[in-house]
Amino acid sequence: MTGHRALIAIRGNEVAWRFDRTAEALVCDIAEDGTVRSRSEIIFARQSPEDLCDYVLAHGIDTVVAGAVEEEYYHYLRYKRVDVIDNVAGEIEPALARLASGRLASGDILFPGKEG
Amino acid sequence: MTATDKADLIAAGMVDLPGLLDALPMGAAVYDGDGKVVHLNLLLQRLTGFTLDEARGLPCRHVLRTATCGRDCPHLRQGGCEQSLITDIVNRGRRRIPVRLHTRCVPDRDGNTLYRMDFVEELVEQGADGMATRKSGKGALIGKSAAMEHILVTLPEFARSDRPVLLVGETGTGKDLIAECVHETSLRAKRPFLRMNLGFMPADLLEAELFGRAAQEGAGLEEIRGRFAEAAGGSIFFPELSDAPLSLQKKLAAFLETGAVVPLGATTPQPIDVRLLFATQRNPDELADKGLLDPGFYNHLSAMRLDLPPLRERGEDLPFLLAYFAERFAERFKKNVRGFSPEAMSVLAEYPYPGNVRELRNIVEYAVMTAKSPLIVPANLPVYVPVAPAAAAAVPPGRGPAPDAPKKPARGKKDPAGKGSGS
Repeated sequence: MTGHRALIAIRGNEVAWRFDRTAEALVCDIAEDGTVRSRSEIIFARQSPEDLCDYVLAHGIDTVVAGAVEEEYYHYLRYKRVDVIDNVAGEIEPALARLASGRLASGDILFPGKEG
Repeated sequence: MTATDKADLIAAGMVDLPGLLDALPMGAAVYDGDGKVVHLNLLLQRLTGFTLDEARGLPCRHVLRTATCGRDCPHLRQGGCEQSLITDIVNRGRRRIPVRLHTRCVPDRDGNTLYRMDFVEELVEQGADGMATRKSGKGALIGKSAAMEHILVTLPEFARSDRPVLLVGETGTGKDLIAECVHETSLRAKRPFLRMNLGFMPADLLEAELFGRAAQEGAGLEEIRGRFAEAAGGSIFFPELSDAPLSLQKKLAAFLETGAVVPLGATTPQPIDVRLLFATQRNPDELADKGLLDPGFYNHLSAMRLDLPPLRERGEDLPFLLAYFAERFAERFKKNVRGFSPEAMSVLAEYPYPGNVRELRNIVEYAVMTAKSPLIVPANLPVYVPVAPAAAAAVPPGRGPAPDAPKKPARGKKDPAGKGSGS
């Protein structure tokens, strides 16, 4: 099975503005043609970037999407060969749609009226 | 124009408010009633990394990104006005910046809140070395070598346990950092982390300091609470295991066996929940052979032992560490240093780093401080970093290696010419 697995750090119906203050995540399997094959929400026991990193590595996540990601976690994930698309501001669905179509980039602002 | 006339201009809204906010010596943000950004002054634009165009209309939580945004938002608590708190932001450059945040409401003439404002004061957070602190957590462990991979995989397992940990490694290999990391990634993270150096006190005072002492009125001795009691629920880190006298080791072994300590002068054991973390620069097996480690105590420590590799065995990690520290010191010294010249890289790749990562960091700090160009050259390195002669001998023009010669990294040499070109 090809494609990739992504984790979007979320807060309510938005991409979490702080990776280190996140206790929820949306995990998606995205096929090569951009179809979202599966999606599941994960709730962590606490807001912990360490737990999130452990989860990412333990579950074969290829891409992490979040708002602010502090440099130490950013570098840690990058060294672990995980793509990090950070500084994303917006609601979950537009972010997922862009991610699935391969158009999501760090720094994207996706709130209505602000899409780049 | 009189002072009253000028006051009228403010009242009439004829003052350049954005200009006024830009002149403030702290960050300022103005939000509408929905918490969407109306204005960011220049200083806050620099601090957050958002331009005004990018930020305008965004929910404030996506721009300021403080640790309190969300459920603890100061604007949502008690009306949100007139509050001050210390928190941090993470800017678009991925830097965490401690700040003091003051929230204020701007009412209209009828007293209804028209705007909300945040004033953001950057706080300087420095460690003893002057570097920005917060260098704990796994991200502070930089590297992708097999040895570091092993450590990064092992640490979560260590963090989950309550057993004592023994970290063995040369000076500068990161024992303190890893001990802190084990604590911070454990369920004890919100409880105290105490660092206890055993080398300075006589054994009897040490035991009172650690385990506490009951008041002894006749002898005029006051009660001492003890470090174990202070660290209850958390962890105590002993940075040099070999400093622990044998008598203390036996008591520590008894604590690891029973989970209780007996303060000096008391008879009843007191149960205390504390995790013990130890480190040593010396070979613990040799210490045990020489009788400097109590066998029972050493048995407890052997279960969770982590040997930290010296930097010379982590060649793969060197470029990452150099780039990481160069970036941090360039930011700290506000210098336009982007990296290392190939010659400087060759010199640094050859150096054995007896002081390990700590020494590497000091070398980079010196190099960034003395660099006059965007690339650090051998001349910027401290004089004690030896330079192999190959790179020193300048290759005369037109007499370089043959085009098909094997590509071997050049070895830099610090020579007067190098100094001239580098600074």
